[in-house]
Amino acid sequence: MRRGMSLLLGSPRAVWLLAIPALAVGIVLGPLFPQQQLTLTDVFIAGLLVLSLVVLTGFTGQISLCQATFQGLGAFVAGNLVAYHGLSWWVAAPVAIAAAALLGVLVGLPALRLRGLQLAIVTLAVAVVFDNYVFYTPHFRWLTHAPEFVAGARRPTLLGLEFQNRPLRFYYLALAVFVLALLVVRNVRRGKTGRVLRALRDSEVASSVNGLDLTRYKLLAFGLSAAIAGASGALLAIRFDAGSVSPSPFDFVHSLNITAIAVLVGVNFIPAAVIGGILDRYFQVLATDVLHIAFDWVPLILAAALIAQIVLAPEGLWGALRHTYYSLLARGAPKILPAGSGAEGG
Amino acid sequence: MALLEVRDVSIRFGGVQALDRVSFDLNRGEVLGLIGPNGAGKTTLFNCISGVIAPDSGSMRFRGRDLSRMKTHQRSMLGIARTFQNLQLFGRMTVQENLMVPLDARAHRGVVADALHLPRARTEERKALEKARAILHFLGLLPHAGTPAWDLSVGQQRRVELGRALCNKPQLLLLDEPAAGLDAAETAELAALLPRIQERFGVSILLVDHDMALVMQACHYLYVLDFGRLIAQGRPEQVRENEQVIAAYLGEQGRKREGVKL
Repeated sequence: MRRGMSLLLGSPRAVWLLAIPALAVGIVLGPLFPQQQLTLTDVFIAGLLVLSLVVLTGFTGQISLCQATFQGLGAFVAGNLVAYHGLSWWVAAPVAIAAAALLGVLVGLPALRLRGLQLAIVTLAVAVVFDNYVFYTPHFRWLTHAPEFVAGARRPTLLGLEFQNRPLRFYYLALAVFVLALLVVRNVRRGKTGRVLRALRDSEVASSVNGLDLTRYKLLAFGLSAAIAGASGALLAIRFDAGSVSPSPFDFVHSLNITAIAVLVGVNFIPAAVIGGILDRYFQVLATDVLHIAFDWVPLILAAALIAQIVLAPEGLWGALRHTYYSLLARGAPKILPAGSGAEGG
Repeated sequence: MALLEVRDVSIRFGGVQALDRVSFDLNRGEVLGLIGPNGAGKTTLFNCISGVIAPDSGSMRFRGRDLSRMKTHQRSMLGIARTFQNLQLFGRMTVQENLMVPLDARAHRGVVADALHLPRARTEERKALEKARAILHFLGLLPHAGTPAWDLSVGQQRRVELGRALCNKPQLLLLDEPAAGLDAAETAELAALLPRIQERFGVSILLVDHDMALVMQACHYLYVLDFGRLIAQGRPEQVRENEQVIAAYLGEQGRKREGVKL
């Protein structure tokens, strides 16, 4: 019985036992809580941003502190094309994703030489430059429409279905994009690309000796990650019925926050993107409205949680849950020998 | 034409002449041994041949092609594969995945085929899996196919490195101390395995090791490296009798007694 369970849940198909109920919850949650619809939509948008870090940091082991910048570029490109060039969002969104991916590749160039702390600082510098300069200055008015910024990006229609002024439909659009991105990342992870990126994370020298072009795959990781962040931005561009995009969500502090949250929930795991999205939107609500903690304490709590996580659960929240689950399954079953115990026999 | 021609390769790290005008040929089908005390430059030479570091001077040709401007991954594609003395496995990946990486490097599909799980991705994936598992079977690692590489014993990890190198379709296999950390029985197994590998995969081998029993048994010809210089060469039984070699291994006292000039 227990063996049957572990076979079922230990297999790659086990993920569906969680994913399908989670999707069902996602589908009913929107209509059940109309006042929460917009915040829940934001969960999917933030979840995409966390997912972009799963690819970059989780798979590939690279650091980025400018994910909100990629998101911002996606939002401005999509919003601009829809509001001022009369393009449908269905056309504008792929362009926005491509633009974000291109910026991702450019940011990835220094990563060919740098790693760890140095790379973190370079990406942070990119975030600060976009946050303080590119997104605000009139020099880039053609992109951002500064100083008034983008307004009037209408939501699209799909097969006659109107999304404008229909928050529930927009909720489902965001959910669909998020689910699609999760599926894509899952396919990437288990295929050639995912293996190659994870190989890069574990040993660069072994990767190149085994035929991998480090340049190509590091840039691919940055491009793919930025593309996902760009998709998040494309959704953000039509978040408001007025179709307005301003630079405030893309400040570098949000980039820092999203990286902190991604690490906290377990950046190595795809499902962590869901928890990360929820945490990004509801952590503050939970702290102030439910636990009645003063607003000023919220960042401090997040920081303390991060420190505790790094010490107690290095694989993050999802990693700890997963570990607990597997050790519960293994109880009573033959023990899995710890690494290097030497008891495996000759 | 030799498979690998190394000519006057030199490299200096600060005050240390790690390699000093090293030249040798490796012919197809050969198992060449490279021995020498710690710090003699054996791993440095491997790093130069595989492209991990660039020598200060000298040239290397493989299958008649100049290696000097070729990047590490291009050398792998040309047929040079290596293992590492200090294991460099993809530790958090399973044994099977470790072997699939070099096959992935040779697969032609892009990220889109993977992302959409296209039929092409499925076909290539199945082929790579079959090939990896065939090599795992050959090395007796099939029971560990699903285990993360870091959870294996050192002996098993060395075999995974060997398997991964073989997945590069190599013509030349550089084995950097494959017997380090192995017990006598495992070393004997390895010595028996090398001729089988040669027979099955048709590779030439350059072997670095301290284990004299292994080197003497496995190699057709030996080069002896000391302080970055080739000080002797010959068939194993000749090298064993060579006084310079004995001196190098016995250290400074031995050198003085034997009158070896440095």
